[in-house]
Amino acid sequence: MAFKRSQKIAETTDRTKQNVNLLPTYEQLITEKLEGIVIPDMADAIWVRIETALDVELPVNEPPATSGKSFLNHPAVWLISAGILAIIIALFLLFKSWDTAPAPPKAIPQHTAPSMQPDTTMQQHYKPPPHLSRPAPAKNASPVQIKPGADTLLHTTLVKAATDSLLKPPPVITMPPAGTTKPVIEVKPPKKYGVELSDSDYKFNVKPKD
Amino acid sequence: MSEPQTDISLLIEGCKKNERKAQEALYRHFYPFAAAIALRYVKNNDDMADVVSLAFIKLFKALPAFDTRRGTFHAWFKTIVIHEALDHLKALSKFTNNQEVADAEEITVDNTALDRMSTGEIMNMIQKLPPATHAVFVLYVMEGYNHREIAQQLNISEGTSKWHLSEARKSLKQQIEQNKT
Repeated sequence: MAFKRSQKIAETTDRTKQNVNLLPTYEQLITEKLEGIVIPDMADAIWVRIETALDVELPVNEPPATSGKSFLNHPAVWLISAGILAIIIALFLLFKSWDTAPAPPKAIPQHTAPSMQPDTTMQQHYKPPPHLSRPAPAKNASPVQIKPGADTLLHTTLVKAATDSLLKPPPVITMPPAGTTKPVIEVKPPKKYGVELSDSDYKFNVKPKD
Repeated sequence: MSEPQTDISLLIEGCKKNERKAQEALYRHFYPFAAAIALRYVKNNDDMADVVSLAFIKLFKALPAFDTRRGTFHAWFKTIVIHEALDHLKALSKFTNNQEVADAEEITVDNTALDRMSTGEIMNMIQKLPPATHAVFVLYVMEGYNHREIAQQLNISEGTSKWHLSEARKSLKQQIEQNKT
């Protein structure tokens, strides 16, 4: 539109003087007088209005509008569009795979540990003295159940400590030989370095008089 | 002579890139040119400011499509200002084809009386004309359009354009005669 107008006005611009020559004298005089018209000093005020309108219609951070045809013909536009589309599809598939992944079981099955039976092989032939009674392990001991929960670690630790104390073998008690009245309790001393003294070292061997 | 032309070309290139400083520089360079054209068509400075601001906004929006091979920048911008001024006049008054004449009437005016008048007085005299008559007179006398072109621009018939020119001449003669006395 503007180009058509500009072509038309370009044709008529140089024709203005020719036309003036054909005008009556008074009209030529009016034209000459109006050529010297005083322009009001409103440049700053008008620029503020123009700038405000341009900030709305042509913001500085955006390039001026170009024709849509040339924009679409640019190969970079298609490449960028294809890249963006591929990223969107990849993200969509990724999120979809996350959604369809097997969900963790809501109810954690209870792990049952086998009931711990104390090792009684060492006590098979042991008969405690009547005044030393020791409670026998319960035959119908129920299995220890590990309850899931936030304090599982603490719970298992406590259970382990309790079972260890129960399964700790009792001190070895040797039965006294038959006929003796007092049983000799032999306690294994802790291993020591250096010269070891046994109980026999403290025994007196009385030689019978010949 | 070539240096200012180069400067204007650089400003135009900056405006095509939507550079605000280039737009302001181009505006300040062409403000007197645009204001002088606009003042021929409007009745006061406020209307001139409206026409000039709208013309520059239209210019900056259309500038990326401007091709120097198809016309000079001055001629192109002058057309934008004239069309904006005509739109302003059309908003004030509906141009109709009520009256038509075969030829515009030629009149004689005392040039001595006209010569004594100042530019402001002549401007006031023209601004008193009805909008359509005012537009036809300026387009014919000052811009050099013929009646066919004026008819196309204002969407009126050629006969109506001639009638408006005749009316403008009569009115101006009357006012010049009054000023003489």
